[in-house]
Amino acid sequence: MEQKKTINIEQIIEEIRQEIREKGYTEDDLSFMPGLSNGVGSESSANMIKLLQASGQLNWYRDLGGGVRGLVKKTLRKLMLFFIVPLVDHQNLINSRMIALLEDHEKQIEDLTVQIEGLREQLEELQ
Amino acid sequence: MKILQIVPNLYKGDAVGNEVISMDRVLREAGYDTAIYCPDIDPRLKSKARPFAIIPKVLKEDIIIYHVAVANEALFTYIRSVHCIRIMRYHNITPPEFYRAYNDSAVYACEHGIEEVRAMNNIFDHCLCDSEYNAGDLKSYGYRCPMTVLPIVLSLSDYDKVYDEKTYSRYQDGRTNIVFVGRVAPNKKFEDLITTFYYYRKYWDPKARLILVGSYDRTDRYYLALQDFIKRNEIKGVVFTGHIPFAGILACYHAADVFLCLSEHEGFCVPVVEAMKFGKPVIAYRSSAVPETLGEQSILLDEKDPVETAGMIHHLLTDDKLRQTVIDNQTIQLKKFDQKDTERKFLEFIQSITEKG
Repeated sequence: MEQKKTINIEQIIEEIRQEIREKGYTEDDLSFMPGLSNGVGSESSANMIKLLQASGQLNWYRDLGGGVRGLVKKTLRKLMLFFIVPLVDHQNLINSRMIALLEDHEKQIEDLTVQIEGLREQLEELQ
Repeated sequence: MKILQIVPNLYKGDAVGNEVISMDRVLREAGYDTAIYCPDIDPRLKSKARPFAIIPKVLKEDIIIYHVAVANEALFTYIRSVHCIRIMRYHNITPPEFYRAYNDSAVYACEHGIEEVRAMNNIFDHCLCDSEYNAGDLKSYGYRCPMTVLPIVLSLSDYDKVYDEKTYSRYQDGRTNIVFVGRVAPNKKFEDLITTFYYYRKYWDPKARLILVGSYDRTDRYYLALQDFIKRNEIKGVVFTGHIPFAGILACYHAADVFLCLSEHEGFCVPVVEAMKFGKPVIAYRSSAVPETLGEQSILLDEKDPVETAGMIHHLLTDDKLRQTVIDNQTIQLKKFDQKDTERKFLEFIQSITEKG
């Protein structure tokens, strides 16, 4: 079996560091802002979205218990499965997309709120 | 005896989806009675899978291979209640922390996915993991069943298909192309790729280009934050391709001078294997399953220093001997993912299960 050749990564890094030092390369102030508007916005709508997330996923499969009653329920379920399951799957898809859409709108509102605040402050300073 | 593969979603071009289809083909060719069942099938793959709703009754000797990469309550409930030989194919679930600042739904899905994986720790007869890293994850969740590590079953011959000439010629204009392939997601740390690229352009190659190949949602907060970052710092030369056809992806790999991966969470990292397949030198950050996939004696960075990483790109592109050594080592590493070998190992695994069962 072929053997890999050795790569001395530490030595390469050291050479690069040397070059960076010699040429005076420095880091700029590049600030990546992950959550431009975290924690802002309407608390009640955020809570409502959380509730929707918790209950948005429908489940066609559940324990129907035993005995005659369970057997009847299972038989009925089996008979209706071809109809119910695609509906449930479709509804779940719609629910998840609706929740994602609501979240996006919520976040966009938060972003806009922050921007408006910033502009308001600038305006006050100018005045 | 039948073998059923169950997967929460089956999308064209997705690494998990590709593997499910490859496994299906391998099992069929070996003469097994097999099928894929899925609640969310990409319309383009309708002929490959059946709706989960019509999954047949399974017998004790049947095998279910459950592919886990995202949460799915219906499948979770089903898999816990069914009586047969149950195998989990674990592709890993992204830690929710990565999404915390951007996407509540994703946080919820990841948290639930991990909860489901934890709750299933005593129901599987066997676990099949993409990587040692993934196996370690399952052990930390209390899994005590036998585990086998088998790399993703990839159809590497697909990468020999014809690439899109138009895309290729667009990027073959004499400029250096730094490429990364992957869905725009926070765990993949696109901000680090862009920052590194910024310094590479500033100090070494002002004409370089960063090609980020992968789908994104233009309303996604992470994508918007990346765009804001690029705009505020006036970073030029960054291309987000968005979702492009497979031939276009192939063209981007062909046009690449270097493949840069600074991801902080990968259960396997198929794009690294793809880059190796195309003979492109890879620079990657040592995290999660990436070192296993890329292998030792490669350019794996222990620290994330953007200026140093940019320097490494320059070093790799200007030192012919180093670049050739990296490519040679990657070619040796690629043999670990040889299609025929992986498929044979997968079949041997299935045979060992059926013999035991």
